[in-house]
Amino acid sequence: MQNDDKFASFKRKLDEIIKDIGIRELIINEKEIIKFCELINDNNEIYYNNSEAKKSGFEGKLVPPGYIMNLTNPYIQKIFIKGGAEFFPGLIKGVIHVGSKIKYFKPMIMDKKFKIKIENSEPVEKSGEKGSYYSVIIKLSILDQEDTVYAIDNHEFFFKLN
Amino acid sequence: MSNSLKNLEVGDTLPINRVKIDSKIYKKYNRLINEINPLHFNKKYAQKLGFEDIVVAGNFNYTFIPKWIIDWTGIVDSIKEIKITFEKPVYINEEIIHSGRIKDIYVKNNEKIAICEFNVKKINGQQVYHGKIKLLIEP
Repeated sequence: MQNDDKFASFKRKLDEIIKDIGIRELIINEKEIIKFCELINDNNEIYYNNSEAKKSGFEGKLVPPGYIMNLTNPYIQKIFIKGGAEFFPGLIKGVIHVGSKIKYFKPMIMDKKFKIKIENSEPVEKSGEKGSYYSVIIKLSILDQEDTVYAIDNHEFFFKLN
Repeated sequence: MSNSLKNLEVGDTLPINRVKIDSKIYKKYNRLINEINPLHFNKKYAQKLGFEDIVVAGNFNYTFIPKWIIDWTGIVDSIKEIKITFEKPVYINEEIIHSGRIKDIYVKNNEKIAICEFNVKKINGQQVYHGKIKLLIEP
C-alpha cells in the first residue's frame, strides 16, 4: 500500500471509530475509586465522606482529580479494540501516549451522572529520529446531563504507520 | 485559603515529592482498571519492544501530580490545568521525584493564577516527564 493510501485508510478508520464511540454514559464506580485511593495512599476525606465534602462547600463526595485519566482510559482503549486487526497489525506499527493536557472546570461530584464525549484532531505528520509519524490528539470531554463541561482530557498520541 | 497559596511568590519551590512505584501496588492498579496493553504488565512483551522492564502507564504516573499539589495546597479544586509530557519510561519498582517551581503569577478575569513548572526525575537524575500546572490561588 502506498504511503498516501495508508494514511487515508488510517484517517478514515480513526474518524469512523471516534464517530462510532461518540458520546457515552460515563460510569463512575465509587468502590473502584475508593480502592484506587487506598492504592495510592490518598486519605483525603473529601473522596470518602459526604459530610466532610459538604463541610468543605461541595455538594457531595468528589472524584479525585488524579483519577480522571482512569475515567477516560476505557474510551481510549475502545479505539484500539474497535480498530482490531485493521489497526494492529494492519495499518499501525506502534503508538505511544506522549502527553496530556487536562483542564478542570468544576469538581466532579461522585453521585452525579456524567457523560463522556470523544473527538479527534486531524493527524499531523511529523518526523523524528525514527522516521515519520502522525500526531493525533484525542479529546475526551466530561459533561453533565445539561452539557456543562467538568473536565477535558486532551491525550496526545504518536502513531507510526506500517 | 491555604497559607501555602496566600503567600505564594514567583520563584517559590514546591515541596519535593517522592513516589516508589511498587510492583505489587501497580499490579493491583492494573487489575482495578482492566489494563489491556501488555506493555504495562508483561515483562517479556515490554522487553521485546526494547524496554528494560514493565512500563508504568502514563495514567498511573499522572495520578501522583494532582495528589502532590492537593496535599501541598489543601484545596481539592485549586487545580485548573495540568499539562504533562512523557519523555522516558518509568519502570516498576523505580522511585521518582517530583519537583516544581512557581514561574508566574497573574490575574485574569478576576482570578489570581499561578503557573508552576514541574519535572519528574528518577533517583539517578534522569528526567522522565515534565509539565505545567495552572493553579487558582484566589477566586
